[in-house]
Amino acid sequence: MIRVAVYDDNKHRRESLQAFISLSSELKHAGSFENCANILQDVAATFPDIILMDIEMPVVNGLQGVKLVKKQYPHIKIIMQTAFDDDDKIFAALQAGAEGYILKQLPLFKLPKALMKL
Amino acid sequence: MELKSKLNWKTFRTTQIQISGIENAALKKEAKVLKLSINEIKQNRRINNLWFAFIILILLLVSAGLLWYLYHQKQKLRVTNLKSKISRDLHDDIGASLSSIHIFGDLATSVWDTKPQQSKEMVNKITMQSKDLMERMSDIVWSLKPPGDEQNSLTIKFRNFSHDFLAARGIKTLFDIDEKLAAIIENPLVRTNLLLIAKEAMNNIAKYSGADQVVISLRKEKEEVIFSITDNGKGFDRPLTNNGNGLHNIEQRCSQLKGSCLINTFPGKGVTIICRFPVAIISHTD
Repeated sequence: MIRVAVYDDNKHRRESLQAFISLSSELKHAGSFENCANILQDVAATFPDIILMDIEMPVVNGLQGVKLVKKQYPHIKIIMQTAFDDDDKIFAALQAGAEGYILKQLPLFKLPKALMKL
Repeated sequence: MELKSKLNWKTFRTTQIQISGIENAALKKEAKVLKLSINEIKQNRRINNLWFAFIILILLLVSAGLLWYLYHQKQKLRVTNLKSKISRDLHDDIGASLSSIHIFGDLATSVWDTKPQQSKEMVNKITMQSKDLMERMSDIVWSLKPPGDEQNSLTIKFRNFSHDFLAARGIKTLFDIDEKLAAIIENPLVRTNLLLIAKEAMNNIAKYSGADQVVISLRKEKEEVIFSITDNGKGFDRPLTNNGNGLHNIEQRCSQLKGSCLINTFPGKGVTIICRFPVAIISHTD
């Protein structure tokens, strides 16, 4: 089972992603967090294999989160979540080491298989 | 001989008088010419002065026009930036909630027969999230409306919230709002943040404070807007309280207004939340 952590400032999105991950036979929910303010402690406590990372979050955003995690835990895969496919920040996140991105408005049913291939 | 001499003298005198007359006439003419020249010079100077004043006026008008144009271009740019920010925030925030409802819908359908209890919980989530979404949409639409109209005023909105959150629990709310100031807060981001700060604070008061009176104040001090919410409840010990009760959100919202937030509280002494932010931001659209 792949352990997945979710970073998103939208409470609704965190709840639905948690439900989705929990119901998937291939994935296990490692934890959900509203921003990256304590990301290194979060990761140390929850041992995720993959992080689903929002970009725009208050206090410490997703881009800063990618840099922090990749510096200390380069083996953890990070998938950015975005509402905009033309966002410069996605490319910045990919440059910082994120493995890919998903659009929030697209259905998630293919996500578990895609995550398994990472 | 003597007669001849007298005649010569007479002729000489006559000639002298004539010459003197001619000289006087010439002098007068010269004076007239001089006067005319002076007048001409004066007139030319007046015309030059008029031209100078005219050119200065034209330059002033051109400068004023240029400044007006630049100001309007700047305003236009600010409005464009604001629209872009609002549409981006809407897409990001409302879009995330809609995607969540979508996910719950898909999940509920997929486990409808196998896990009926879980699908029921998911349908409940859809109901709650869509209700929340409708409230947020209503707040966003309100924030975009003109602040001067009474039905769109901050006071009316605060009164509605206090009625829903506080009056229902027997908590009395007093309003000390500078209406003139409230009527010129037109920046939707300021209106939204004030509204959400009030909402968050009232929610905390209703849930945790045990207060029976709240004072909501909005006023101007020098170049700052001061928005405060005070309750006479039991207060709390800040270091022992985690940020789960929305205080952190209030601080965040104040910083979005380029301002600061002070939360004064002691156990047994109630809570005062004071948000200060620059007056300049209330009409600015950047």
